[in-house]
Amino acid sequence: MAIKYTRLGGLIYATMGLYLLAFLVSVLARAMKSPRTTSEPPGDRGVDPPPDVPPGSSTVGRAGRINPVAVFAHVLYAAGFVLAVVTYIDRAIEVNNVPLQNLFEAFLAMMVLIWPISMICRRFFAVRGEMWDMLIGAGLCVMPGFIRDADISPARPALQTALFVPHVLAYMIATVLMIKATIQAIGVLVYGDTSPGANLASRETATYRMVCISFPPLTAGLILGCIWAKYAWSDFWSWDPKEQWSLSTWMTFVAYFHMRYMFGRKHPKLNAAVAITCMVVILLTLFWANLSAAFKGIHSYA
Amino acid sequence: MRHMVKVRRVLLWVTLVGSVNLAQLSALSAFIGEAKAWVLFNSVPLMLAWLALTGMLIAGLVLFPRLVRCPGLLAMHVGCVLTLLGGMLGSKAGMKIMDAWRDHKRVFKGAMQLYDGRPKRNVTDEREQQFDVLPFEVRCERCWIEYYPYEHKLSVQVTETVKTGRWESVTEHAPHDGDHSGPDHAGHVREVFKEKLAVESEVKRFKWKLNAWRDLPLTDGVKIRVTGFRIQEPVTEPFLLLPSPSRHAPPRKVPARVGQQFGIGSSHAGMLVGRIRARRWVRWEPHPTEPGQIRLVPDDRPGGSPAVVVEESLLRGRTYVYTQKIADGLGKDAVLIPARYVPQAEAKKATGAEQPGPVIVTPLRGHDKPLVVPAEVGQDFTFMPTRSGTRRLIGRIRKLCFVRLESDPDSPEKRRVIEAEGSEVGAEPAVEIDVVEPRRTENAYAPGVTARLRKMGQPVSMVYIPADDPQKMRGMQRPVITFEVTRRRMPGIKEYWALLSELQRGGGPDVKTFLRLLSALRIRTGEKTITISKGRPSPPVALDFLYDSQAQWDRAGRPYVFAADKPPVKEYNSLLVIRKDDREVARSVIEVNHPMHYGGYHFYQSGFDEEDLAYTYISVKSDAGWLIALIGVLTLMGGTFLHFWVEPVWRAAKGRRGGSPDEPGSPAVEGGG
Repeated sequence: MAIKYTRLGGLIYATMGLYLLAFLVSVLARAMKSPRTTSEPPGDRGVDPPPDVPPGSSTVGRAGRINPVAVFAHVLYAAGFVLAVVTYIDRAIEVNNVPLQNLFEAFLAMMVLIWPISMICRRFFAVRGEMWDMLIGAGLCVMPGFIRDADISPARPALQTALFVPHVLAYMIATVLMIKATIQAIGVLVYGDTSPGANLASRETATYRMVCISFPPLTAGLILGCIWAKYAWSDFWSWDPKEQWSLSTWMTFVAYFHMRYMFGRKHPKLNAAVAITCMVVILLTLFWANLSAAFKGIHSYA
Repeated sequence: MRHMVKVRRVLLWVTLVGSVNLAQLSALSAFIGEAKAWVLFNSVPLMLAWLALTGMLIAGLVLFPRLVRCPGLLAMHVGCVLTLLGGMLGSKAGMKIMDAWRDHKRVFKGAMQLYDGRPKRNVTDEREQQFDVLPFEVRCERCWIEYYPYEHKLSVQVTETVKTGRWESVTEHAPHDGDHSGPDHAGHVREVFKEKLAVESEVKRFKWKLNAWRDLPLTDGVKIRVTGFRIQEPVTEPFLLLPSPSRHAPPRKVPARVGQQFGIGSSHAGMLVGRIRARRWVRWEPHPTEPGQIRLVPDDRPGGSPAVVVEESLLRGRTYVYTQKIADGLGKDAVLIPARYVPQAEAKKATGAEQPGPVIVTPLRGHDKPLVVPAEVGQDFTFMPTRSGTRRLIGRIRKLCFVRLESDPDSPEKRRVIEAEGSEVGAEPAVEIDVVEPRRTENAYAPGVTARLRKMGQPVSMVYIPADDPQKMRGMQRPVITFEVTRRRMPGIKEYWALLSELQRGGGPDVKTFLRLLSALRIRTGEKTITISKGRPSPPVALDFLYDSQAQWDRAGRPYVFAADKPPVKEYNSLLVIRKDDREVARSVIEVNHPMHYGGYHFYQSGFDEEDLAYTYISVKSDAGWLIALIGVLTLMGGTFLHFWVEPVWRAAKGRRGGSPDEPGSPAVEGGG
C-alpha cells in the first residue's frame, strides 16, 4: 500500500473519486425515488438493496419527469471514463508503448473498459446495473492506485510480439464482462430469477447473456496465448500453472454452457452459482497464479 | 427415437461431468509444477481420457443435428477435435506411433548449445542425458544482443576512496634480526612514502535518473549529471591480434594503422619486430616453391580479401640495463647505447615533460630535445643512438627492476650489474631494455590466415581482423556513461585560508574537511565519457579525471568508481545456417518470438551467453501436429465469435425484437428431462 504522489497517481485517484461519486449520487437518486429508502442516508449501502430498479431507469421519475440527480450520476460516470482515458493515454505516452505490460497497466485498461462495456450492455443487451459498475470502476482503481507499483520496464524480448496486446486485452474485456455477469448472478441468488424492470431481461437471462458475450474474448485470450507460446517457447501448451488455471477457467465456462443447454432456466440459482464460480476461477487465474509463490512457472512476471 | 433421446442425455451428462473433472484436474495440476503436470497429462490413463474426449466430441457432432446446423457451434466442436488431434500427433507418444510409418526417427524436443561457427547435429534433452541426431547440421554464424537505450533509470554505484600520504624518514634494519649477514645491521635512514586511507571508502548506490543532477559525496558544490548511457559498438578500426605474452594474459591488439610498430617475443628467444606498411586487398594462391603451402598475392580487383602488409625483422636482440646513474647502458657485449632511466618521483623535474610515471630519456640525433618514453613493460620505441652510427634501433622495455652495482673483481675499473631486491642497501631502480636492429622482410596477413613463425623456436601467430568482421568483434560491446560535471560555486579563497589557518592552529587536522575543499578545487568540469568493462558492476573503472591526476595525495587512489547495471536487453539474435549434404539449405536470423522452420523442425532462441557472446542456446522442436492444432484453435476461436457475437447481432438486425438479440442457446433441449 503506497500512495502515488505523481501526476499519474493523481489522475488515478481523480478517476476513482468520480466513479465513487457517481455511485453515491446514483444511490441518492434511487433513495429519492424509492419511498421506502427516502429516510436512509444515501451512502448506506448495507441497507440499500441491489439494483431493484437500475438507476438508469430512474432518469424518468414517477411523474414522467427526468430525474436530474440520476442524470448527474451518469454525467459523473462519463466524466470518470474521460479521466480514465486521459490516465491511460498519459501512461501510454510515458511508456511509449501500449500499457498492458503488467497488472498495474492491465487494471488501468479495465478502468477504461468499464464504462463502454456498461453502456453497450445497456444499449444492446437490455442488461442494466450501471450503479454497481460505477462502484466496480472505483474498485478497479484501487489496484493501480495503491497496490501495484508504476514501475516502467521496457518490454523483454519474449513480450515483443503482435499477439501480446490482443492476448491481454481479450482477457481484460472478458474479465470486465464477467464482473457484470457476476453482479447479475448475485441478483439471482438474492432476488431469484425476476426481471429488475420493464423492458429488461430477467436476471438469469442477463447473467447468461453476459457469460455468452464474455466467452469469445476469453477463448481468444487463451488461443492467442497458445499461438504465442508456440512461437516463443516451442510448445503451444506447456502445462505451466498459469496455463492450467486458464484451461480450468475455460472448462468451467464449457460446463456452464452445457448445463444451461441441458436445464435451461429450470435451476436459476444453480446457474448463477456456476457463473460466479467462473468469475472466481478467472480471478484466481489473474491473481493467485501470478502472485503466489506456490506457482513457479514461465508466466510469473507481473 | 426414445433410444436416441436416452443416448443424447447420457452424452450430455458425461460431457458435463467430464468438463467439471477436467477443470478440477487442470487446477490441481497447477500445484505440482510444469514438469510433473506434463507427465500427468501424458500418462496412459489421461491419454485414454483425451481419446475419449475426442470421441465424445465426434459423437456429439453425430448425435446432435443442431451442432451441424449452427455454423458457430460446428466450428467450436470441430475446432476442439482438430486441436486435440494436433496435440496428440505432436505428443511424444503420438510421434512414436507416427515414426513407425517413417524411414527415420524424428527428434521430439531438445536443446543445442551452439558455439561460434561450429556446426552441430546432436540435440540434447533437458537433462542433457540423451542425445538425438538431426539429419542435418546447424551452425550459428553469428549471435548478438540488442539493448535498449538507457532511458528509464540508471543505477550508479559511486565508491569513493581517497588515498593520502607523506614522505617519512624511517630507520631500516636488516631483514632478520638474528641474521648478521646483511649489509649493515646498524640501520639505514631512507625516505618512505607512507600511504594511508584518509577517508573511508563510501559506497553509495544511486538511482540516477537520466539528466538529473546529483551531489557527489565529499565534494562541495560539485554536481554531476548523467547525460547518456548506451552500449558502445565495438571499435571499427581494423587491428592485428598478436599472441599473448603469457598464458594468462589476453592476446594483444595492435591497431592496423600504417606505420604502427609492434614487437613479439623477447630478446632471449628472438624478437619479431613489425611495422605495418600498407593495407591492401589480396588473394590466395599456391606457394611457388613450398608445395602444400599458400601465399597471399596483392590484388586490388574485387573479390579479394582484406589484408595488411607487415614489414618484419626477426632478430636476436640484446638486453641492456639502465638506471638513473648509468647513462650508457651496461650490456653484456659492451655496445653502448646512451639512455637514462628516470623513476617516477623525479620524472617531471628531470625532463620537464608531462609524464606522470617513470620514463626513459635518450638523446635523439639531430634534435635538441631528448626522446622521452614512458617506462612501461612492453613499450616499443625506435631510437637512433648517437654512438652506433646511423642505424635505427628498436627498443622494447622488458622489465622494471632493482639493481646493485659492484666492481668487477677481474677488472676493477669496470662495474658489474647485479639484480637486487628493492629493500637492499644500495639498490636502485632500473629498467631492462631489449634492443634489436631490424632486418626487413615483408609478409601479408589476411583474416583466416595465421602466420606461424617457427624460426623463433616457438610458434607465433598473428591474425588480421578487418573492422567489418562483426563475428570477431564479439564481446567488445561496452556500456558507456556520459556525464557532465559542474561546480555550482568555487570555494572562496578566504574560506580556503580560514581552513588552513585553523589547521595550523592545532587541535588535530580535520583531514576530511580539508580533502573536501581540496577535491572541490581540483575537480575538472565539463562533459566526460567513461567506458565500463563488460557491463558488469565489477571491476569498476576509476573516474580519475574527476581529480587532477597529478595531485600527490590521490595519484594511487581511485577517487570515484562508477559502476552501472547493464541496460535491459531488447532482443537476442542468432544467425543460423543449416547445411545438409555439404550444401547450405537454409539461413535465417532467429530471435525470441521468431523461430526458424526447416525440415519439420522449429528452432527457437532460448538462451544466451550474455557475458562473452561465445555461444547461444537453441531449442529444437518437431512441428508434428502443429498445423492441425493451429487450424483447430483458429476454428474454435472463430466459432465462439461467430456463435456468440456475430449470430445474435445478425438475428437482431433481421428482426429487432425488443432491442435485444435473441439468446444464443435459448432452445433448451433439456436432455429430454
